[in-house]
Amino acid sequence: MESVLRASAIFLFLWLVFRLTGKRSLAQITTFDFILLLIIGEATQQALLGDDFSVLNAWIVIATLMGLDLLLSQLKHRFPRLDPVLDSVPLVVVADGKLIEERAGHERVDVEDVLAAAREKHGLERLEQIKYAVLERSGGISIIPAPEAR
Amino acid sequence: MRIVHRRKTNTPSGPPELDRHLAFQRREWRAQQIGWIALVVFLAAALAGLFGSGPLSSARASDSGGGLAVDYQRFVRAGAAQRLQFEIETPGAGPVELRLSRRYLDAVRVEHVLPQPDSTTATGEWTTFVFAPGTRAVTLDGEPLGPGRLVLSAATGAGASLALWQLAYF
Repeated sequence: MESVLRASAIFLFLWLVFRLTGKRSLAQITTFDFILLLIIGEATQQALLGDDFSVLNAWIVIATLMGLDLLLSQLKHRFPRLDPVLDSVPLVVVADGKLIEERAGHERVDVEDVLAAAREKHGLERLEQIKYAVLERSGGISIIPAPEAR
Repeated sequence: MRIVHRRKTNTPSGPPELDRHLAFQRREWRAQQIGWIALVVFLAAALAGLFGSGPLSSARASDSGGGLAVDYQRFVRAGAAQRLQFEIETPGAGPVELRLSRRYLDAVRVEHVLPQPDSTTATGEWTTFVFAPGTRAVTLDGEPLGPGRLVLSAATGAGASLALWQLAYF
């Protein structure tokens, strides 16, 4: 019983913290983000397993984590209104070549982030060539080029 | 119409199929701000010692006669080591006796008792440690086994006694 509660508590806390830090939290994995992810994993591991290093305990913890993940996706499927609560929503940050400052500011996205995505995916150079830039729920930025830029 | 049009060009907006999420997005930002405040409060509480060692947690309990005192942490965690430091004043020259309530010792896994007692006996509600004559300080390291409130009663052979509580987090 303790293992299940332990794993659930960690699962919920991690979900909450990553939800709080916003869509961009770890979307762009810089070297430091990667290290941070490893450290979070290390800090989590001890609390997940406690001082019980048996195979059965690992099974229980893994089953709990996978079960909770499955449960959440089932809930999202059955109650579509929960979807934005659990996974957030996409957000338009550039419209008609202009950065929407208020939205971008909230999500800590700047022009450079948008331009980087535009260069990588469409070979665009300037903001005016972008019709819409959308900050997706995954934290990535998708670009819809302006018609004349194609 | 013209005003509407002008406002639209001043503050650009996305296509309606995406901007329909905007109301939810604003609620999310508000919730996130509240969450950040909660996170800061959580960290501040942790620094202050509400979840473990720290100024809010360090405490001292003592007998009114001065024969027994203990420094301890009010807030401890299950599975994490914590320390009780007893100070004992015994008038006579005989062996020094320290009695601790069994209920406490059942809830805590004792790792070390320093100095090592000459004998340990468990009788009913009490576990009695007997130390060499002249012992004035006893350190007990232990880990709470589970979350909850721990109550410790302690007494010396000379009749001094004290009681304290600790809260063990999960």
